Amino acid sequence: MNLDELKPLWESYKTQVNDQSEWSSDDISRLVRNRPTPIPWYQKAQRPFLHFCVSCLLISITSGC
Amino acid sequence: MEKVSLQKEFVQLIAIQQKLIHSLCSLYFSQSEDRKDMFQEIVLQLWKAYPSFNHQSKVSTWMYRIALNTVFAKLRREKSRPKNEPYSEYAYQISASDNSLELTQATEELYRAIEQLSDVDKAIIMLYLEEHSYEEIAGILNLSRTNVSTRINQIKSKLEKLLKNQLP
Repeated sequence: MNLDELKPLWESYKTQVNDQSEWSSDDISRLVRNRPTPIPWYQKAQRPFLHFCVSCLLISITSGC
Repeated sequence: MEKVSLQKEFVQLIAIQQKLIHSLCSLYFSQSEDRKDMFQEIVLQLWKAYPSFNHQSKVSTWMYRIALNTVFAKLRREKSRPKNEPYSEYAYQISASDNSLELTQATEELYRAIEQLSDVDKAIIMLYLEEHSYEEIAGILNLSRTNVSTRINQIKSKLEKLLKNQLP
């Protein structure tokens, strides 16, 4: 079998799948527009920073500082 | 470029090229909801990367690279997730009725045959059928050219067996 023989069949497969799943430009536009805003770096760092501060506090208490 | 015009340009690009993403999603996800989720995830990843796309490579190559990375990341997440309780009979019924792709007999046979390949082999055959060169396939999937060539030969024999007596 030559794999190239499958190319027209693949094209037909793609068309059939697309016909059943196609999104309009408006749908795509809405999806892109409603994309959640990225979380700022300082918000991502909030929890590790809190953990670090609590660890420092505990170390200072237990070591008698 | 202004954000609005960039967005417009991107939407046009996806509207034209969405066939590529839908066919990819349909090969990896049998449930229509999963396919829809994956389509959205891929489009968002492409949108995130679009401002830095420099048009040095082909648009389809760039899209496939990002789309396949997104699919593989999702499949890895699913594999690493602990297995839940076995599905109930009801869940099986939903699962069986939800694969709503209607294909002609010949395309259905091709789909069933490709579906049985491994995740990487599916990507290779898809890229091959999309007329990408061995070098491009190797670049998209981070494989060597020799590896791609060997795998294509193996895929060819597998598909030959699977499609035997099915195609005219």
